[in-house]
Amino acid sequence: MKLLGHLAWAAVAVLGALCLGAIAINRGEPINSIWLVVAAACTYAVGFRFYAKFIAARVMALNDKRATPAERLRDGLDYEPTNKWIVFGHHFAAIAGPGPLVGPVLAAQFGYLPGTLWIIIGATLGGAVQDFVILFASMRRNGKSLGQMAREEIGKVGGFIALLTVLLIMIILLAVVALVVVNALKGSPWGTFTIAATMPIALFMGVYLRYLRPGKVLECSAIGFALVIASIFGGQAVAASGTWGPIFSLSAMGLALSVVIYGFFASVLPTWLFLAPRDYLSTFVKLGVVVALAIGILFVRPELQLPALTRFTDGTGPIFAGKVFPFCFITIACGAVSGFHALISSGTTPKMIAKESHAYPVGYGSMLMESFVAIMAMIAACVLQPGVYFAVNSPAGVVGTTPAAAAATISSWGFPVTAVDMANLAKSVGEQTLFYRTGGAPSLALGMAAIFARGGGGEAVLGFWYHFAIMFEALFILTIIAAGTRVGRFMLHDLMAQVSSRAGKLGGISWVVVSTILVVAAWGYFLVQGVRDPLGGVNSLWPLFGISNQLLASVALCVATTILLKMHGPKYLWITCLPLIWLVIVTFTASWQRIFSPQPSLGFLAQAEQLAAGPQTAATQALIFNARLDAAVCGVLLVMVAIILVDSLRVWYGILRGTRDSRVSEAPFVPSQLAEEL
Amino acid sequence: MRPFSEPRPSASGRAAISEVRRLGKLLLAVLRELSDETAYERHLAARGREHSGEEWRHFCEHRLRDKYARAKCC
Repeated sequence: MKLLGHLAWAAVAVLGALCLGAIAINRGEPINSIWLVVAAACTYAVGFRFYAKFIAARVMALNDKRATPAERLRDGLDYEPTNKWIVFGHHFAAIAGPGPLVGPVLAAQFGYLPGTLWIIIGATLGGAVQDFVILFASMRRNGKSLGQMAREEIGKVGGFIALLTVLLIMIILLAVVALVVVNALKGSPWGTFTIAATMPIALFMGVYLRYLRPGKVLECSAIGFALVIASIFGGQAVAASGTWGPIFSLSAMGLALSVVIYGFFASVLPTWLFLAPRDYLSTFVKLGVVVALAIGILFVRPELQLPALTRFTDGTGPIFAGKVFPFCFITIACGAVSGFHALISSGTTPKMIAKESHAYPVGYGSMLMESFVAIMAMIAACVLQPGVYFAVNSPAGVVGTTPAAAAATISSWGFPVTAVDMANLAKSVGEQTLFYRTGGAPSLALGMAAIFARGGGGEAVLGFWYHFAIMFEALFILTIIAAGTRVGRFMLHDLMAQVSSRAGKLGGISWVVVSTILVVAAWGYFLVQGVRDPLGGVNSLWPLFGISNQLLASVALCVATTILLKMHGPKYLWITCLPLIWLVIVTFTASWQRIFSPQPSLGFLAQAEQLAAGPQTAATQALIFNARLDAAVCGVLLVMVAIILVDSLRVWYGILRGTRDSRVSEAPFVPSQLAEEL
Repeated sequence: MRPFSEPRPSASGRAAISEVRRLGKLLLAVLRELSDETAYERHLAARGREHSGEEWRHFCEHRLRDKYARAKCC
């Protein structure tokens, strides 16, 4: 029986290797998406069964006889021992945001191969390890946050910088995801009406839950979902109306300002009235769409039309500048390695783990699941004809300002497309145009719509599925904007409290309004900068977000390495050190290139210099300032992480030399009384 | 023996049905956890209270304040 088991796992490993080999060596012919699915599934299975189990057993020595914080500190609210699959679902829903959907779509400009390999290998050896180790560390420390652990394990500087880094990332994240929504909805009355309708729907849900049927969240969410679906059909009627169509057809700047106003009100309104019902709805829609997309891909098994590698691996890509190394690894953060996950792994999840062994499927397994979502996003992007993919994702500043010019430029790259093809495609999805819709969301929606429509209904339902996908993306992005602005406000307060005790005592409604304005103004500035950018904004903001997210992962891995070093000495250091070294190389190279590259398309400073050399207008002055600001933000992030890194090296050196306290600061062992298998 | 009884599922069929039921229950449990309905039940049990609109509003006050003070993932 044991031999049979070994043979079965050997077969899974061989199958995974064969599929990876097939997608790696395939050139010139479209490849079926099922190769990617099987390669990913087999690699995840082997990683989960062997690597994660090795870490769980040898490195962490997970012990079910040891009571977890959920058991010891049980309060019926945050601390509560919960069934492991429920915690798994909870954790997965918390870590899965727009990142694993948008990043792979943008990185597909290099072809499907680099991004796919990075998603599979990065998640198995890096991202899932980070999530797992941080979850374990937090679980052994009564559910402490990443910032608290950084402060305790590395020092006060580390803790402060971790907080500051998170606030900066949050601001860039909110700006870039807002830009994704703006680019998806500009000049789209169908999409804009549908998203606008979700706001009164959320308010209705809030009132329903509070006064009409208190506590009936699932029932209320089902009603909300039915109303949202109705609003998609309503949007179609609005787009066709000569009166209402133009009202809901907003420019990019008009939409950006609307999102800024939305961000302010959504984060200051009582959470029960707007944010919470919207969050429930968007979580369920998100999970449903992920499952539906997985079923759709398995059922339809579409062929990938994008090649394995495109000419843009050389750094001349229209969607964002920079070579495949390091920019593929920056563009895909969530889905491979995401520092943000460390915040979730040290947030609610460790307080719900009933048995220590549950951290293994929850920490490692959830990340593999998110990685699989990224693979599906890659597939959805690559099922588009390459000409269509580049026409949708390339900014006017690169391909030309008229459809004919854009089609000619893209065709000259070897990806044939015509303005007529694009006009027909736009018509079939109920849009006026699909050119210059940078940001990834529209091309992902097109790919998803193509997969769903091939599952049944054909071209007749393409428009519905396209707008369903846009609604799904915008719904949870706008929820993140509301929640993120609110969290940004608290972080600002925490930071000020660390600087001055008087500032920490600020409160009341006026402080809420002022701090919200500050946070909204910060991300709103970057959003407007992105809208004004002739290169589409995503070109500069998404890499900045990727760099900052990976830098946060470096901070998390520094904390994880320190903990492993204290537990075992240098024996298992490689487990977190290898991904850390890789991330440091990638992020530092990418940051350096973004700041100092002499190519104006890549280096912020070179871009500012080039603009300064040309004719000066108010718009040019703003672009010069923005380029220098982006360089400064990149530089600040780099310096902060360098400080944490140096601080960590100092701590590690002290531990190895025996001049520093190497005691593990875990909560003391208490025997578990939980007999039943939760 | 009943002459017109419906054909009964085989043992493997019954096992499959019970497996589907188990999965359905688990899925519902995940959805209830995500929707805070289970947390609300725990809140009622911990305090020995009955469900009411007022109690739900009291629960939401604390639950949502904590929930939206934490970063949401990207």
